Amino acid sequence: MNKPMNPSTFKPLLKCPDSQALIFAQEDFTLRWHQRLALRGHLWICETCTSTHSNVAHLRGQLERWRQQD
Amino acid sequence: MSELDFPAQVAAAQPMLLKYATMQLRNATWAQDVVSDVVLAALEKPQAFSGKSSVRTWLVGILKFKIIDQFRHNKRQSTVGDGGQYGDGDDEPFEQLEKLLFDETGHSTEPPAMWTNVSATPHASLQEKQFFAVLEACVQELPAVQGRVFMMREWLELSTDEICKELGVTTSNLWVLLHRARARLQVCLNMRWFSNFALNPPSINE
Repeated sequence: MNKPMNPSTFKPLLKCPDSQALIFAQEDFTLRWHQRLALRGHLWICETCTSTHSNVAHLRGQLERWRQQD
Repeated sequence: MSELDFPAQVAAAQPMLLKYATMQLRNATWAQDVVSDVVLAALEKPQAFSGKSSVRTWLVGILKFKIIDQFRHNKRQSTVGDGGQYGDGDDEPFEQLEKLLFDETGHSTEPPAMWTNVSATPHASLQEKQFFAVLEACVQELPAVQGRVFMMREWLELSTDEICKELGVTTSNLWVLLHRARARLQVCLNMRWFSNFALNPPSINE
């Protein structure tokens, strides 16, 4: 936590664990406006969380197909 | 469909029903009981099957209702004796998992593989079946309470309010349980399917 920040990177308001918690929570709960805003800001600058966000959306589709499999 | 087909189809669906019941209830005896109830109900009133869906889909529908009944009936037992209350509680392995996923600055240690669309690949039907088998294995490996809550949400398709009411947990407890279940599932699928899938897509002969 006390490591100096790389000056070329913009420090996000959210850390990745918080961002990922919100990404998962979005599947089940309605986020508050400030949570949505913070998440959007973090996703704008974080490639890893953007991948997670995309993977969660992908899994949502797969779960839908899993429920409907016959 | 002839009348002779119906009992055979019900009997053939039993292992599948038992698998879902066990994944949801996390208790072999309750799962067996609930599947027996479903089979009995189906065989006693075959005329209730309208033929609009497959027998399997119809039985799964009955199973979901019976499982919800079972939850209500066993409410007291289901909150004890399974290694934890429905609260978030201590989950030391999850803390360790987070340490592996994130460094001390709170950033991911390794970016996750981008998941490709299973159904958009060649041999999609076979690969999808294989993917669902891996998905089910990952759900079964979730800690009991997290697995049960995840299945209530994703398989029984209950709302978060309904789950809170059924289990007597707060919204914040449920938030934590679902978060941990989804995070574990993400890691499991990454390891068991998507990493291998990207490197070595399963062939039709497997």
